[in-house]
Amino acid sequence: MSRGVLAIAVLAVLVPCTVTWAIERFPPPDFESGYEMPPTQAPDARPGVWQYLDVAVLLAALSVAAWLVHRLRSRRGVFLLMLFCLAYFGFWRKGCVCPIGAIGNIAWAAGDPNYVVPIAAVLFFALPLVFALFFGRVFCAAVCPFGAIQDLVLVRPIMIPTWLEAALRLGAYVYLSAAVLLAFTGSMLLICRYDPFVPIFRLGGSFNIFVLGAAFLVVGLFIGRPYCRFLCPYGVILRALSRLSRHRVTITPDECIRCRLCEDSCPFGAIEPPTAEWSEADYKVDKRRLALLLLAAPVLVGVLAWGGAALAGPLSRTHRQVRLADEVFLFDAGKITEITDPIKAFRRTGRLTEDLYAEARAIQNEFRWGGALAGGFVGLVAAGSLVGLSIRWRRNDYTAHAGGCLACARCFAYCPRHHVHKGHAAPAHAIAPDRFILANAQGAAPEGTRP
Amino acid sequence: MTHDSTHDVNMNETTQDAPNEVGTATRAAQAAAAVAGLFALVVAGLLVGNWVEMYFIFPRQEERLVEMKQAVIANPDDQQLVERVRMIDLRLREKRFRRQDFVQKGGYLLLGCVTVCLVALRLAQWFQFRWPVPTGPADASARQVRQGRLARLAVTAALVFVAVAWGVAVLWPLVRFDVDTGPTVAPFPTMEEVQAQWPTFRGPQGLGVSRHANVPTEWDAASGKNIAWKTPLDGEDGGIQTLPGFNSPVVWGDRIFFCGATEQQRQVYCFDLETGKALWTADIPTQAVLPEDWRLMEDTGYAACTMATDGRRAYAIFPTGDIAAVDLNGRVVWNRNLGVPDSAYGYASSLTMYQDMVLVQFDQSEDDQGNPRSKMLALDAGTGQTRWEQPRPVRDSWTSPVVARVGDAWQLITAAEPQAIAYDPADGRVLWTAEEIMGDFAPSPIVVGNLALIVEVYNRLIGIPANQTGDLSQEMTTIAEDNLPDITSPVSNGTLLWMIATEGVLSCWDLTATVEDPAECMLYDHEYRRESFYASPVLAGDRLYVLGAKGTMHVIDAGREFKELAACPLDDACHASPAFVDERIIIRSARFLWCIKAQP
Amino acid sequence: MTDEPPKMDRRRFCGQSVWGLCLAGIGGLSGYLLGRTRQPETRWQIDPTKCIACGNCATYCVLEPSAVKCVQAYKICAYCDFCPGFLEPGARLDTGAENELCPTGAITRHFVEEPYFEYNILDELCIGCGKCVKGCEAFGNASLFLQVHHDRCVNCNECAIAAACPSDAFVRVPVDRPYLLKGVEEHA
Repeated sequence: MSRGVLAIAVLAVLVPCTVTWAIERFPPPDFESGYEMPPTQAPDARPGVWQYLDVAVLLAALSVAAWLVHRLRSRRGVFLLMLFCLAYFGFWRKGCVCPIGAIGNIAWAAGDPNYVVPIAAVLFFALPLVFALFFGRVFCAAVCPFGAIQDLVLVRPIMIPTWLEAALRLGAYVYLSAAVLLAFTGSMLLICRYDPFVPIFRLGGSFNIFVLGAAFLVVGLFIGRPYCRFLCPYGVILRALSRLSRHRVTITPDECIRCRLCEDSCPFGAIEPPTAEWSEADYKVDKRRLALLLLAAPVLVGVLAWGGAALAGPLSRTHRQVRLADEVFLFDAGKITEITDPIKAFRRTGRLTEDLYAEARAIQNEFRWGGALAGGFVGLVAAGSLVGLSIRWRRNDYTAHAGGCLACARCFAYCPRHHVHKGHAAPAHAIAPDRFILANAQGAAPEGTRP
Repeated sequence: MTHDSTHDVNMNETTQDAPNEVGTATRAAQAAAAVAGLFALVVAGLLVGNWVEMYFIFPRQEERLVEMKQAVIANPDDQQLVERVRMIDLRLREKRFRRQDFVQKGGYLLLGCVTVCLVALRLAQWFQFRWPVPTGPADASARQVRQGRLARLAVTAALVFVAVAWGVAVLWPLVRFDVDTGPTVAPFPTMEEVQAQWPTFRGPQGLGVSRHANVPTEWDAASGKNIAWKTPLDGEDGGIQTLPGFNSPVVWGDRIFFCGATEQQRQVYCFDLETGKALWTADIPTQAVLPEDWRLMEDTGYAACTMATDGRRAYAIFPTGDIAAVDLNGRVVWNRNLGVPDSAYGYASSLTMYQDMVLVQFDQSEDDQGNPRSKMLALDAGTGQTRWEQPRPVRDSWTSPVVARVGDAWQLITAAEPQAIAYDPADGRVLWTAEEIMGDFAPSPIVVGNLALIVEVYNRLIGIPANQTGDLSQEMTTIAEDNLPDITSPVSNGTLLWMIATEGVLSCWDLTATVEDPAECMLYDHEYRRESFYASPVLAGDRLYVLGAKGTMHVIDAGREFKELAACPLDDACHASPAFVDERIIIRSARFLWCIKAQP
Repeated sequence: MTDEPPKMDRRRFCGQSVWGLCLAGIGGLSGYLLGRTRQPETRWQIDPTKCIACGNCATYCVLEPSAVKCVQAYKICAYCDFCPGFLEPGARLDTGAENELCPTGAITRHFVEEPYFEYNILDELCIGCGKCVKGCEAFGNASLFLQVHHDRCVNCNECAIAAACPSDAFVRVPVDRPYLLKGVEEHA
């Protein structure tokens, strides 16, 4: 097995064993003065039961979030819960364990039958997905500490045009497929290694990642939640499941009066306006294009699958055994003159070079078909995206996109019906929105209304 | 223009802010945000500066400190230097912990500033809030069509970007791990291959017998007669500067290996057999922690142990206990330290080999309680891992072990006070022992037929029936008592045996004679006056080659009577034993490496 | 329901089927993984038989100073007078800063009885650079070795030191036995 190293290491520890490894150059002394040897220092670990508390908090937070978004429809509640979750999962638990990173654990477990996947990782991965199937992306709204920290820094949002958003989102799918491939082959947990916000939660860590995190936050001042929308691999899964959710997030508590007040209220570009009527000629052109795209889709999938398989070279080098085999091979071929630490350590194990090469070759093979699958997946998503953009859905009302809506509850207060529904004194624009807009345009702001 | 809200709209709120009040509050919040933001920037700048210092400047300072510590070790009495090291050490340690503390506090401070800044910005925004004013046509069909088209274009562009990234990444293709070694090389050479080479001290099996009788019988350094080449070893004539060493060259194929060392440095050299050109020099790192006042006798030096080679790698051991394998291109494949051996005259046992194992006779003096610390080690030739290890109940010795054939089996034969021990070279099992032999053992054992011959210095030459097992102390026979060497090893052709004593007495003994008094076995003795001998004699065909310390090779007929065929001078000090390969004799003298070959 | 066109029904049926499949899939996957997870949580630890004390532990850990620290296996220690993990090779037997190996002065030397000395590691000063480990392994009994200290380790999912370890010495160990100590009998 290619990813056996870790497994063997874990097994070796689980088997009853005597750990006595030392070079006995000098016999241990016989003390005559009654000297007692101190014990070897080994401070206790944080016990494993804490993970159950994390899961309980997650479950509670998700439930409260669903209640706040769907029943209470309170942005303030969502905001406060978000602060709490940022404090708990972020600064207290240092952003680890999190569902985004848990993707890696799940994929690793899928590829390596001996890998011990923590219970918390499984539940952290599954619970937000189940909630998304029922209530949409309530995890993104209030529970995810990464979302929270970006949400907090958003001060002057700039609307990103749909086309740019659609293109950038492809990055998240590439990231997801790469992360799953690397974890499945036992190479690395990509998401965790390049997690931009964990160093901020820890107030320490790799400087480069720190800079990356800071860059995301600076961009996040103007572009709402850039990591969530354009990179987050878990967001991509939530997006897909949220489209199927039982209870969708709606802008209005009852009916849309098409007042257009919410039109630009979503900093994440998830609100879709009603569609226009299409002309017959447009319709024909669209139909032909759709047919073409549907025909081109398999080609796109095939090309990207081939491309993914061709990437086995650079990708497989993320696996330490392949990297080691590479180094040993180049050294033995005389292309590296300096002997490196990994080569030295490898020689010390007394393992045969042929064994190492065989293992490396097996991993490379895994990367070949894994790369093809990953590439195919990206191709499928790109084709789906192109096809989706060519289909004209019909919408009569202002609606939150079922996949793109982060359930942050910002838009609620923009809807006049919200205030009526809450039993607030009916504002002028709730009764006659058209007149309100006109008045607003003339600079006569309604009294005492401030979302 | 979009707006953001963090709070519910409270429609019941009836307070109305006067325009100028809103302005003041907004400005105050903005000012607070600006101050906090500026402060955050300053703290961030300090943290970055701290990081730069931590990762770029500090390591260099630490390196310098380490260098200074080394200088102190070389010169421990320089009180000024010691004081400086102490001061810098203290300063660096203080700095390290101050910096760690600063990173902690700075992090919290930065977080605080950013939080204040954000809250102030939010407040300012909240004060400034205006309801959105949707403008433009309500019917957005044109815009929607345009957006759809652009989106398709953008996704395509993203795919193109992916393709470009792919094109860059694909420049690092898979390594196929097809090891191109030509014909498959066996992990170790056959005995037949070994016999044709000169792979260890005193040649194959360490017996001082060469199968190549086609070597010259006459040469002369002055006239250059039969000198194929000579390469200076002291850096003259553009040659390389080698470190001193009394070890003998070993040869495999077209490569000559030997090593040199000083107290500080260890090197392995490789020369081309055809041209004498220096091919490479390999520096052997040390992991030894040397005891205080560690000095070796000049007569032994820091590179007395002869190397061994199996044609795959060459192996060298040094009196620091450092042993290393160097591949044929001069790269250190593995190196390890066996501990610094405690040896009265300096460690000098040469390496030998059995199949794919390097055999190390690691003899040293007893510890303070009188417990022996000697051991026999077999190391994996490819990795340096210990394959087997046997403690040896002996004190320090200067003999080299030999792996020789006795009957059908291979034996690893060693000699030291107070025991001669033979091991099975495959697993280290003790085959036989012979006890109560005394002295500082330096001449290496040899095997003649089933007899292991061991020189008990200044006392006698012992024969042990090596085909028996167990304790053979009672089976020892005395073969000779006079003219014994104390450095060089004997050599035999099966019936006759020759010894050359350091002071210059060459003696020949008949091993087949069955007489009571060993002295009667001696066929002749011949004294070379004013000449001493450190190199062991070599038998090639029916000639005996005896190399004197002044560089004169005495070529002697290997018969029952003394007959010197030639005396070939090199005029340079020779301590190392010569190496004999096909048509050639390789001699390492103090200043040159010589290749003797019949010249047309 | 009968008022709605049959097309809508079909679409809803498909949607609900996919929804059910997704739910079942998530449930099945997590059920399977939870069923497999019989062992407790794991922690990172250094296998001292593989560690080559390269020094990466001091620089790659996300914590400053590193969670990896040197520990002393007293049962193996020879209580040397001249400790090769404490003093520079070839240095004088003097505890002056110029002779000490440890860059932070984290090793202390105490007299036990003639000729034995006890060496202790001060955890709060140790940075896990492994210089003493190298020294002890090269010439002593290799009783000094590196371990991840779990009071500091934040147990990253992807341990940065493990990723940089040249000898593959970082392994995951069960949380209830989180150390791989030398000279200690361990039983499952």
